[in-house]
Amino acid sequence: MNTIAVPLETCPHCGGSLAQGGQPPAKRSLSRELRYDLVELAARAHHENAYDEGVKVRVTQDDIKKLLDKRKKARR
Amino acid sequence: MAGKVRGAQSGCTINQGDAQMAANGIRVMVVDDEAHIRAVVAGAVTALGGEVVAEVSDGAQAVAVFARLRPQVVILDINMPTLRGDEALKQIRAIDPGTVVVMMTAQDTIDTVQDCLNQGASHYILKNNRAEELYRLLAEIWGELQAEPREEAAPRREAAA
Repeated sequence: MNTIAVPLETCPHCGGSLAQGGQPPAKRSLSRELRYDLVELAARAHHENAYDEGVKVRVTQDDIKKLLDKRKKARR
Repeated sequence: MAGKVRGAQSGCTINQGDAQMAANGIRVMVVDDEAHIRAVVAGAVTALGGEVVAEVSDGAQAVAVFARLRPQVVILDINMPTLRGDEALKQIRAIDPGTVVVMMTAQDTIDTVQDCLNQGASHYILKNNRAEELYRLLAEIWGELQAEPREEAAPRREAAA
């Protein structure tokens, strides 16, 4: 069931007025260097993941067959 | 007299007295801690004319039974209590390097597959396959064994009590 939130005039915890609330304390936006670039972070995580030994490479029965055939040929 | 004897530990059934099998019967030991998997594999072996000499539920027991019965083929699970299948594989191959060991497991990581093959497993079959794959593999092994018969290590007679 959906309900519509009614804005409160006073804080339920401290009783202070909320009439002037909602204004962010920061006056200036962050510089470019301090922002997270999610695309860049995702790309870096993906790259590092490739070297993570915890990542397991799973195989199918066909992969195993190919591996066995390859080993048989190498043995001959 | 050939008889099927259930071992002292649960899940171990040994067909004693069957050391002398039919000339073309392939002697197989099935090792898995899940009884229903053992039943399916044993059924497939029997259906293809093989002889299940033992059904075992853990790795340590598998090594001991193998040393005694010397089956030609061992179908071996990996995740088992007491001793893992990959460790049992090493010990079985140390006892008889000519044994055909088939790893039959749900472990599908390339590292595990390569480790087992490096340790001497002849085949590796995933449990998520259809039964036909198991039948196909067993038939292939039968063909290989009958094409290249090796000197079979005679099972050691058990000392009389």
